[in-house]
Amino acid sequence: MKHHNPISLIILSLTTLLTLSSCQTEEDTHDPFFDTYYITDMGLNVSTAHQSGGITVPAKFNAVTGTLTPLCEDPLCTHTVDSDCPFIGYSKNNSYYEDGILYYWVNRTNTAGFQNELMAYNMETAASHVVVTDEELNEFFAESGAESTGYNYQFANGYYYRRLRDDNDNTIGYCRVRLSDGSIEEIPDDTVVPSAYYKNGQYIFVEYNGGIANGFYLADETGEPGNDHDVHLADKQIAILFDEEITDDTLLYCTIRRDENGAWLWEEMTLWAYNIEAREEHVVIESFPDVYLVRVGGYVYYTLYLDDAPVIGINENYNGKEVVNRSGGILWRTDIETGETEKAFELPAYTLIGTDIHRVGERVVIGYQNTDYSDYIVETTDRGEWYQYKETTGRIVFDTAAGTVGIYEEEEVENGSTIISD
Amino acid sequence: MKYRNTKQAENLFRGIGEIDEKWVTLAMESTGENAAVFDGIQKPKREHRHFILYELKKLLGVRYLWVFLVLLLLLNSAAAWYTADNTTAAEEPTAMIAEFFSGYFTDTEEYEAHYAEILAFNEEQNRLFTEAMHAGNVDFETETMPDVYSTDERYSDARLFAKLYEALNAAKNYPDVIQKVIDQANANLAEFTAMGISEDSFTWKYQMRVIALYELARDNVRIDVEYTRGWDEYFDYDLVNVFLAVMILMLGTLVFAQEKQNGVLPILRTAKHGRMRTACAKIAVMLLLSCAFVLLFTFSTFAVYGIRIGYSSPDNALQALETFTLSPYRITVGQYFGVTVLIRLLAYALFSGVMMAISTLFNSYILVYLAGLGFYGLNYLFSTLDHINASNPLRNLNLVSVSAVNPLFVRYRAVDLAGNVAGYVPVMLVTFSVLLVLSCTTAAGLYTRGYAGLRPVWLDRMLSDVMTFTAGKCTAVRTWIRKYSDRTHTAQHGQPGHSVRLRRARSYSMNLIAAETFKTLISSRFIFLLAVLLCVKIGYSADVYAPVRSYADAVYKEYMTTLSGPLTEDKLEYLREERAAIDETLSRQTEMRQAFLAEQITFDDYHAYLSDYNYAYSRSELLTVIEEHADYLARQKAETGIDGWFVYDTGWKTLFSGDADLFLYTAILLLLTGTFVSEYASRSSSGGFAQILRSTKGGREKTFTAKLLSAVMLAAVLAIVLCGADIALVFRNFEMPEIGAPLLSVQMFGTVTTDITLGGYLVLFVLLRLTGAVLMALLVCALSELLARYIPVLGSAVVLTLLPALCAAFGLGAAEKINFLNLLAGTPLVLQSMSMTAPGAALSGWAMLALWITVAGCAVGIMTVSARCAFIR
Repeated sequence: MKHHNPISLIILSLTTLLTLSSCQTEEDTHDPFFDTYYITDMGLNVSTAHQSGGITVPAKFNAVTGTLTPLCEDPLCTHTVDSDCPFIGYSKNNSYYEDGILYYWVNRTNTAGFQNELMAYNMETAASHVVVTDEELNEFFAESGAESTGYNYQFANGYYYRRLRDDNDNTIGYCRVRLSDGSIEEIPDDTVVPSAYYKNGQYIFVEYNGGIANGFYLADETGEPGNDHDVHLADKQIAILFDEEITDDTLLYCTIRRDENGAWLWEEMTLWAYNIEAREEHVVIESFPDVYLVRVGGYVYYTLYLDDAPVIGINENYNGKEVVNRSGGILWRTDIETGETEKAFELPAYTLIGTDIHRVGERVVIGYQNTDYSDYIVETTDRGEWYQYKETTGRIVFDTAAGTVGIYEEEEVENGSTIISD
Repeated sequence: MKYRNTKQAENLFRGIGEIDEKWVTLAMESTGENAAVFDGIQKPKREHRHFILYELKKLLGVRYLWVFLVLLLLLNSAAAWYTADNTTAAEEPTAMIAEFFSGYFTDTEEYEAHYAEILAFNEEQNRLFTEAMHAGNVDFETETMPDVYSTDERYSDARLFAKLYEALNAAKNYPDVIQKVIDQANANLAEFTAMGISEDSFTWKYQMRVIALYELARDNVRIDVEYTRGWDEYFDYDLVNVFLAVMILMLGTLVFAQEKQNGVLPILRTAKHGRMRTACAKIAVMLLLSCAFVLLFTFSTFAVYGIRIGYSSPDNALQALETFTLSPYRITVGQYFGVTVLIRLLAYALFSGVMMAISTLFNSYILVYLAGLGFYGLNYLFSTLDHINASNPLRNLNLVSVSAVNPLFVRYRAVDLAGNVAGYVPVMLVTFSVLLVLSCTTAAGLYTRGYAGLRPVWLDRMLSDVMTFTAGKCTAVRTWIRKYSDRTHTAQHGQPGHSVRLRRARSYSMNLIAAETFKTLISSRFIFLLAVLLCVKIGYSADVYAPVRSYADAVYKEYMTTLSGPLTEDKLEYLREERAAIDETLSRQTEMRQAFLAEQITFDDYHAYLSDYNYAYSRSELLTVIEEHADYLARQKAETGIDGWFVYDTGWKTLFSGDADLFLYTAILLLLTGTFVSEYASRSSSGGFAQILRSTKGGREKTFTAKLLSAVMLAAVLAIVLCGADIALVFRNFEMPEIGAPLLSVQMFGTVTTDITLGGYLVLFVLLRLTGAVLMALLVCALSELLARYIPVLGSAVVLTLLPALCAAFGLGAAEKINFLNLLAGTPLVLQSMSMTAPGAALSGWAMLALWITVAGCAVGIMTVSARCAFIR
């Protein structure tokens, strides 16, 4: 079994913790949007007077029907720079959805120059407007005398948070933007932002030390930890928190343990489950090399790199080298309570993308990309010739309740003037 | 005797001026005659038709209108020709392609067989090329199949077939293209159900409307395969709207304001039909003339494109034109042409209505004209702003977008009206019609009931109160001084001083320049408008020149300040070390984290590393900008021998890259248009004051010189004040270091290959703007004398100075070369001059600049001399 670079996993965890995509304000306001959709992107073929070929546009994937549709709801929009599409310059992984409104950052160039703008798009009315711009936030901080070397940001509880920091990662300015009206207010430097909502007005907050998460606790919205709800990972130096919605009062996290000589076992992390009510924890997976997992119901789902991966083709252009499917086309799942692992499905012909795995309601959606090494065209450039192989991408939806698998292939997209296949 | 009585009655009737019959009846009754005697008399028709004809005759008798009409028609035709000439279609061998298409339909099999041969031949050549590359034969060249159908070596058979199949595929694939739109709309509806979006919502209804419209289009539109040409290019040409706007601006200024200017208005209002009927006649004439102008310009443009490119069949579906593939309207190309004419008629009818309403508000031609120009400018702004929502009403319903017509027809657009879907075309038609009626009604209402222009009573009262108060205080002070002086003199000398002997102090200046300046600023009350303009300008500049507060700029400033000065080996070494340090820090991230987790380093050490990492991570990309600048400086040193510097140039770039000051432009037009015109304007048949002026001692040469100097002085002061305000703001909000650095230290001046410093260019920058203002002042004064009427002066000034800029903004690149605003802006003219010379020719760029200014100066000079001759004689 091979594993990902743990450093990248930890960075991923920090990134995940820092850029939340959803955080509920009340227990019963779970947004049904995410029971059906997740936000991704898709390729489109366009042909206008100004642009032609394949472009990538932000989209939503319906895990129930397997359809992929652009976020822009105008069927006549070409989504190109000359089309006034509200999603031009859309910044991926920097969005937030609440109450039928999608908030997202765009980087665009217009008559005023290059600007970053936080947009709000009403899915029902298809109307969009600017909530706040980067320039306004900079001016806000400048008025308070803060000049930063960088900033962290986060969406949570109907706000956009921005924390200015200096070279030593000290907070030198902190503000939040109310998404409903774009008003900016300064907040104390020590404000903590919750990672996830638990219940009964309680939130999960993460503790950091040196930029590494090493604990979590429960508290109300203010973030002040209560004495009887402190939870620390006393004997665990590194924690990777899975901050999806807490179900069955159970929080999942990964740690790294030492061997008998005290050395850290980077290649083997442990997946823990902590019952918040009972204040008990147990090991789910003793040795777990991957953090790209999703939790649905009582299971965690993930893919693994296989040492004995199945052979799925031969690359004649590369000395007849065997092409293998490193994932084996297998989606694994582990019971959180019992720790038993089994295959959710196995489709050897599909090369699963372990990093492209999502939970959508009671479904697991995982992307795949198949390469046909026998179907290619030769491109000749100044640097020589190279082979453009036919690639097929799509998504596989596993319905955890019904146990069914749906395979949804994406439409072929032209790459400039080259059509990959007929 | 019946006949004689009838004849007498008829003579009587005519003798009393054919007024209402009732008066005649009354008169006859008083003489005992039977009113029935009038039964045989030919009663005159209703007289309002005469009013229309009279107003028409009056306007058509304005000579300069014809001059401008001809001039603008010619300019539009020239611009249309130039634009048509630069299209791809203009380069195509039209006859050959048309013949090819015709041949294809005659003998399709033969043509398709040849096309298959071409494809096979090309495929074989590609295969041979690939083999040759594999074999290392890099010199291999593919062969070209000889042409069979083409008789033009610039247009091969392959291109002919590409053109043909483009047309064939467009026709064949049209239903599929539209089906995709329908499918997307249906897919959206399916998702809306899943998302819980209501069927009553706008977006739901919009999808339904799109489906309905495009299903109709898919099922009913039939595109004929033909060699389409001319129409797309013609419809794309919207520069004609600029010329039309200038023409309507001029006409609209004249219609109602004419009577105010020449003093006839109060008299006219006392006449029987001098109010509403006259107003209606004026409105009718204005609308009639605007229609005539629209048709004239439209058809002349159509003719130019027809001559240069030619047109394919107007009976083909509109969707045959690539631009209109997604148009939902099931009309032909010819019908769309008709639509464009009608919509343009409506748009300019509305503009005419607005101009008429404005002209009833203001007393002065200048204010009417500038207000109209401002209205058009606002519409232009709405059409160019990057609105977030493509269906934004401001974007779609402004005058500029509507008169262009295409934006509303290339695809379906709708607006949300209380949750209902309303297409923009009907919304536009209704809105513009309502606004047209409103503007005409306003014009008529204000004309019939209004006072003499926009000198509101409250403003006049306020001004007179201020002036009365001021004059009273001045008098009191003068009186006190006089009394004190007399008392003192009497005490010393035993008799009163001069002040007693003076019966009355002179209250007017003997200095002509001062008097002219007073007249321009104070008498005309324009000083108040100027003050308002200045306030708006300062507010605007404060916003435009607001300090930049961004992390990227802060880092840029830090690096540039550290490296400040000429490029040296030490600085290059610093950059290399900085880059190495950053790269090294970034690369150690994994190692340091592992070391920390393995407790090989302390938390403090790791924390210190994280600080370095944050620094490196945030600066890596920004350092690239500095490194590129170092490369630029090295390149400039090698090519020009000039040592550029590292300079924190954000402030310098902000200052030097500003656009022309339109506030200055407006102020000069506002103040100086009437410099000479005011002497010719008359409210009596005896003519203007110019004749009297010329008979006075200094009323010719001296007065002319005084007027000119006053105008130049005003323009110069305004230019210095406004430019100074901009400079002051920039210097206040930005750091402006290294004023002695070479100008090409700032990359935007990379083509300026002489050793002028930033400080030197700052002086030149101010001088250029000053020169531009002075030249414009001289131009306006010269026009003011030569044309002697407000509207021609305004129109000519705008045509000469603003029209090229508008044309350039609408896509006519060549107009940039004669764009006067470049001189007012300063830097664009410098950069343009530098770019028109060969690299390495150090002085020729400045020579070009001097040439530009000299040519402009000579042109203005000639006009000024002509004006002088005209005024003096």
